[in-house]
Amino acid sequence: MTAPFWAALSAGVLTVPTCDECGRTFFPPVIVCTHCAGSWKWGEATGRGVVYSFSVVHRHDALPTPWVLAVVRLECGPLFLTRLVGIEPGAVEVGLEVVLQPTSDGDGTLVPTFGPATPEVVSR
Amino acid sequence: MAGVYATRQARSLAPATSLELILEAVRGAVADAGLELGDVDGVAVDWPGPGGLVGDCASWAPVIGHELAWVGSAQLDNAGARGVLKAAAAIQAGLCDVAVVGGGQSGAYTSNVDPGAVTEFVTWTGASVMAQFALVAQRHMHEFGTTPEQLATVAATIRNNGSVNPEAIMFERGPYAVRDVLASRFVAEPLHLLDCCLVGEGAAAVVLVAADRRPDLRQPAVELLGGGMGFGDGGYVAPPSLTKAREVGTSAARRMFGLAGVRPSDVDVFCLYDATSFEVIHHLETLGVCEFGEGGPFVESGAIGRDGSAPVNPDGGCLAFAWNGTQQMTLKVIECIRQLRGTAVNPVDRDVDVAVATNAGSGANHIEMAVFGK
Ligand SMILES: [Zn+2]
Repeated sequence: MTAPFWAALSAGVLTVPTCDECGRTFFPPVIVCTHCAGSWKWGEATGRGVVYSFSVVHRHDALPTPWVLAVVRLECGPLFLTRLVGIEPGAVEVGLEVVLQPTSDGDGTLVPTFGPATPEVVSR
Repeated sequence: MAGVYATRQARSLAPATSLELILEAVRGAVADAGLELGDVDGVAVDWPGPGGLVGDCASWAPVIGHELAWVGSAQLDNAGARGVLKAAAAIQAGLCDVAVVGGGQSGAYTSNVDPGAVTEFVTWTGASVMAQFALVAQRHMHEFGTTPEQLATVAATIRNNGSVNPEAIMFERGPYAVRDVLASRFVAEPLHLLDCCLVGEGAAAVVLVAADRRPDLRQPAVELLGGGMGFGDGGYVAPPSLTKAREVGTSAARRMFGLAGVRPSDVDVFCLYDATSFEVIHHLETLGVCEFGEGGPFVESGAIGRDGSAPVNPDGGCLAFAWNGTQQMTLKVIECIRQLRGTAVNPVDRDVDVAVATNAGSGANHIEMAVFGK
């Protein structure tokens, strides 16, 4: 069900389940549209959104700290759990405009991180 | 609610095994009720092994000594408000007469709690349990201006309760001031170390009986008056959302108070899920003790102290008394009952006629609550 998401991401494109019946989007994927129970296909999203909430993480086993966990409200509506990159943790705030900026995970696969939409807010 | 029992709670209880602890809790709760183990015909206690089928409550039948009339399913169904509500429903439906709910653990947890098996869209982010709770807290601070000092007030108040509770893991570790909480290092902003709950071990159990068994009981009767549950999604599947947390909790609270015929202002003590300091604010708002968004100023007013208008976690809660995995939820129920019986270590400064226990988790994707009375 989710292979197309990762395939599109490797081409730098964010896709989200898009309903065949009502046209709405949702995330994460489940077997039917969460709005109307219709069938759906992966559809391209803009990759743009705003920070709904975030947490600067200071204690972690695997990742060098501090790093920023965030929930992004995608332009098409759904909330998306992600990490923010390319920005000083202290510069992150709710409402910050962000854009998909995939980065390579430890084993070389691309993961759907987000970065600031405008470069001037990289640090504060 | 006929019997309760909590074992010693500690960061580590090795070399005691989970089975030894759970047996102590089950036997203790049955004895507290004035019953015999053989009286039990309903079990909602995860079987820990060795022997039997791990996780299957039916494995208790040989220990109880006869066939069981009803069993719980597993994990969250066998703990706290949720476990008690389901066992009570089974009794009320006539499926069993004496049910025990509980469990425990020893040697199971480390200091690093991760959400476990979650979807590929969560795993890659590295989101820990505390970071997921932090996301809900941060959004609340953004929407309502809730402050780090208000969160720290919750942590200090509950930790100070634990500090004077000899049964608490953090006994005599305080007193704590708000500034002490704020001075502790960040785990996941806005949560400091002292905003986050303990990790430990222990066991707990409660016994419920049908109303017609009341004459057999050793303790003054405490009644389960009502309850409610809300489930927004599978655990840790969807991003934690304040909006969703509000929805699932509000309908559950309406159902609970409606069933019980009491109002939030009738409640004398609250035993709330305090995985983080913020969760207490979330639950007070969800229960309707204060308005949505007002939780910060409410806790800052001193209302949640043992001498306040809405005392919260007089035992020290998960922040300072104990967190032992799933059964911390049962400890909330036990503290409600001890407050109602008048046998709590830290009684609140008022007569207790109504007590509320809440459990929740997964950032804020589910909530369960029960209200008890004399
Ligand atoms: Zn649809």
